Amino acid sequence: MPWVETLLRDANARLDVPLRARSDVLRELRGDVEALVARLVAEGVPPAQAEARALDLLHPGPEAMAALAEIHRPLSGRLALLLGQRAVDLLEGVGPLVMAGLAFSAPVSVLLGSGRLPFWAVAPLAVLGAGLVANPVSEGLRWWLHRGARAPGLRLGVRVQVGGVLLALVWGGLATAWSGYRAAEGWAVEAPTPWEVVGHVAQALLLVGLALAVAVMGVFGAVALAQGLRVARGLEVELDELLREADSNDRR
Amino acid sequence: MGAFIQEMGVMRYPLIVSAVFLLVQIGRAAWALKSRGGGADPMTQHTVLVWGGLCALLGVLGTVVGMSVAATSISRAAEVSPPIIWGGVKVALSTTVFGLFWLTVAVVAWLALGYAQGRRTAG
Repeated sequence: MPWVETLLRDANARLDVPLRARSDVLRELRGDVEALVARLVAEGVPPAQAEARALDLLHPGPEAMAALAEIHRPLSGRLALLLGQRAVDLLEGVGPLVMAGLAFSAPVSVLLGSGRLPFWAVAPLAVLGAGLVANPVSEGLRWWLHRGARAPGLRLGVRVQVGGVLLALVWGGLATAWSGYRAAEGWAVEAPTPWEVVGHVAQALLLVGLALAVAVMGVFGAVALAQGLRVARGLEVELDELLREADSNDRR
Repeated sequence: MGAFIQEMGVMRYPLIVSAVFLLVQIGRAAWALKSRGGGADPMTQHTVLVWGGLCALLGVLGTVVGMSVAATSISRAAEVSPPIIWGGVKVALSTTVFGLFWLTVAVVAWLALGYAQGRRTAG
């Protein structure tokens, strides 16, 4: 039944629905066409004529495509339509970053207020931490609004998350080494008291702990994103298989 | 800056060579991304991280070697004062600071290159 597959490819190119719903729509369409052909053949219509009639009756026009898109659009997608593209872009991109930044500002201001940690060491870690929270939240929001996300976008999200985790660890190490170097520079001129040394060791431990905390948080985000990527890849493979099956049937 | 580099002792040579290779690799990866667009070889980008990691490892090795040299000198000295010990620690730490600085540069570059390539592929 090669024309069914041509119909599927055509419908896939024109459909404006999320990936998960797309497979369902194409499967529904295929089932309807095959059922109609079977019914017509059972009624005594020759197979070639039955196929042609089924194609005429079920080939979806622009209105049908729009109706299909409307039926399969999730509630979150309707909300996105109501909000408008600009507002959705803002919500997905800037919203999580602002929220994570606000959430991070409280503990960071407490840490800086204690006077134990230098601003130059903590501020980049705070910005990184906010980014590492915002990145998966933003992808999650995108997934919720559009009922799925494309694998390349999620792959980029995973890479950004992994890079952020690495950066947090390296920055923690660099900040600790640099503050140790500066402290040793001062102590080489004037010997420190034991409490000064203890204070500095505590500061170094705090810095390393903060960097590790940011990195662990980032790892959780990376795991969530990798899971999303796995699901998105699964959906894309499913759709590919549906269409590849169409190809092989066409050749037959 | 010159004094800081002098402080690193003999370890400054492999560290500077690694840093130069890192910068060359960042330039190569950026050039590949610009000229070949989304089709740039990902291995070129990952090599940036490898050079950054090598800088950091050499830095830590320099610190271990520096501590060992300082410990040997202290054990042979007739009189030891805290400023001498802290001076040795400072010199030993300089290689770690240098190595970690270049690893930070490498991670930022790797992230930026990956982001630029990912945006092209996804968009």
